[in-house]
Amino acid sequence: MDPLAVSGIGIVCPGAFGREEWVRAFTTGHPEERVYRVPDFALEAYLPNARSFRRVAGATKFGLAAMALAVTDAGFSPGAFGGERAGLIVGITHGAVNYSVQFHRTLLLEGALGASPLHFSESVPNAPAGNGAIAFQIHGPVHTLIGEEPVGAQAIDCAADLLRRGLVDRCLVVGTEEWNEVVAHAYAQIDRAARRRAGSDDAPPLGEGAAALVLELESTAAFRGTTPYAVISGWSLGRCFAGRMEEGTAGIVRRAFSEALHLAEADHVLPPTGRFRRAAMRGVVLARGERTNPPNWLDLLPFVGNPAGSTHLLQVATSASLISTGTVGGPGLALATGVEGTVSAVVVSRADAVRA
Amino acid sequence: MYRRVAITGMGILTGHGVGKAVNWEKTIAGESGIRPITLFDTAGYRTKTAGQVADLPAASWRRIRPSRVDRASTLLYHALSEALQESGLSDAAWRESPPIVALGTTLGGMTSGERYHEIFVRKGPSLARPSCVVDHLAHSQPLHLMEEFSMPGIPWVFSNACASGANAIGYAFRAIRAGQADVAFCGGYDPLCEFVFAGFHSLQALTPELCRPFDKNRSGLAIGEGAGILVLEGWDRAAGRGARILGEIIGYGESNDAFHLTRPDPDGKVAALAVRQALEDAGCAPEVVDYVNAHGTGTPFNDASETAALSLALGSRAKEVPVSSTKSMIGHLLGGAGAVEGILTVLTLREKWLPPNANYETPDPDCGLRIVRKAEQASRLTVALSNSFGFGGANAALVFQAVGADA
Repeated sequence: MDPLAVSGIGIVCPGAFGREEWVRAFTTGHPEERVYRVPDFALEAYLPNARSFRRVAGATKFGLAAMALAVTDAGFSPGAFGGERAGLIVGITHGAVNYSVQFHRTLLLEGALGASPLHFSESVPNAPAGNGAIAFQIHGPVHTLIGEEPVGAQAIDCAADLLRRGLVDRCLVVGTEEWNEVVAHAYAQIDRAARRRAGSDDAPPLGEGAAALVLELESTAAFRGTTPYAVISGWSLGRCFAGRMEEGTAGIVRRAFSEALHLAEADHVLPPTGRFRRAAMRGVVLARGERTNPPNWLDLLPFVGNPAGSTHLLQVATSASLISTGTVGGPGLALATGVEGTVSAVVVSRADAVRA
Repeated sequence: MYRRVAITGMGILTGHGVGKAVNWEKTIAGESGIRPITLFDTAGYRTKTAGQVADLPAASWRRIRPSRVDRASTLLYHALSEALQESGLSDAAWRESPPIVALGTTLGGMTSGERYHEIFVRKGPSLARPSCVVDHLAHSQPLHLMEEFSMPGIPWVFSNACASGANAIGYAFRAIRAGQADVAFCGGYDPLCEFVFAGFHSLQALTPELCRPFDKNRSGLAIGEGAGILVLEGWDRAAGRGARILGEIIGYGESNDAFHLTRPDPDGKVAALAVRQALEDAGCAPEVVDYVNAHGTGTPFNDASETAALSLALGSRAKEVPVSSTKSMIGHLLGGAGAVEGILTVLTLREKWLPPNANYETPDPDCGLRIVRKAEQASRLTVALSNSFGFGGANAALVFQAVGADA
């Protein structure tokens, strides 16, 4: 099967804008600030037609900037990326929640006549995708998938389907989230309750940001004369119910590797930024067995918190970037978990590492 | 080699009621399911009606705590229960081969989110209970449903506004056809809630009058609520186990206008692409399309744009093929629309009756389609198209075929 090539990477996160800045921050930085927010920025710096998007929500703005960075990084001009043969898949957990909250707050306090249509239309879950389609004139399939942190793997799977069925030639895959007080408060409450009940081991703070990948079949990228950063050589998704996170994760990790590579070959693991992360990490150790070398754990949490639906693609982007610079040899394993027990594993490797 | 995709179960609930029988009976009678809203206070709104499901029965949850579930989950529960019962499948079927669960929704359990946020704003954050938000996020309802029905895996939740349900069906259709799974449960849902109602009100998209798709005097849409679930199986597998096959999905197309977040592209060119792709996928020429269940929201922009799209995709056949929008009776079910309308399209093919486009009185020269004014019996009804278009430029088209059409 033609491998899935990562030919463009766009990152917008609290520590950095763009692939190179992020890799530098991640490999040399020591994050001290514990507020995981993306600093204010001008979309004009990334998107030529940014003026049309000046009133979009934060999640859309982060997503558009990440998409523009990825498209350019893949060697396309923003105006040439779209068309009927291009697709866009956005994975989110909460999306443009600040506008939702603002719309509902006005509705509660001032009544229906005070509520802004802009806050409604720009708060719908597919607002980042709809605006992305407009910005890059994407007329092919455009989808928004909603899920927990593993939704990034679902977005990759959906894009892979479109590419392998020959429905599109290139696909932007994007995860984007914005921080919100009400959401952060709700998670804190859920975490407190979980700790009281079961001594839950982790409660990662909510983060924000976006990651975008341009995915193509490796043969398409080669035809364009582009060398991909890495390939996505396997992925797997599942759900683990209470008390079975370790074993369940081990099974999901094994399945992700079974397609193309040996699990023992993995030289780095990006652990989850969501709930149950420690149990999932134990699951990776269980899957690898005691005889293999301990993996290099590359933890994004201290840098970005838990940016929910954008987590997984940020992990994949990080692994692909580090593999391309030779910082790590690969393959790498990106692991995501959600509060309802959903788990996903994505394997990233050098193109030549995939077994024939 | 592709597998044929059989529909072996369908479950539906709308403002017309719970179940296929009542929905079909009232649809063919042209009866309105639009009624005064009782779920929230409509004093501040110009429009006071919607396709609310009256007397929604409680669900018999066994594994999920009923006090925590959103109205959205209850809608889904009833639709899935009916579809499962009709299909004759039980959890033994997915112990052998995990099913695909693909559902479309716009805002999932927003009623729970509203409740949590209202307490947060009015009484303070500390009094907002986390149990209110357990079933709020859009992936929660499908996850809880799968838990209840012992389905392994995780769901695919499409949120492409009003095309969500059709996209979820299209996704499942492709997976079954390619042999990626043996069984899929797919469809869409959305409950009526004030947030969405106020949103469409703020956009001035709601009509205070009757919803009249394609009519010259159309003045906007009516919001509805409900859910629709289809059970899809590989034809050979369904036939092999002796299942009653209700219909067949034979084509799916999708595209994006990339024009405006809330308005359709008036020239309909990209929406036509989705229709054309669906027909090509089905191997059908426009001449064989016997009926179109239109997206037909009743807004001036949408119906004109859809007419343009059908004219481009179907050519001269666009003026002949019977078209109706069942939203005229049950309202716009948003994420549930594509699924519910898909089910009504399958029933149309089975029963050989064309559903009416209720409230249609004055033809619009800009919408020169053959609108079905009253239910009609049809001698030839083999292939039908169902359109779904949404915010964010989403376009989806599904092609259904009657059982026995290939005999």
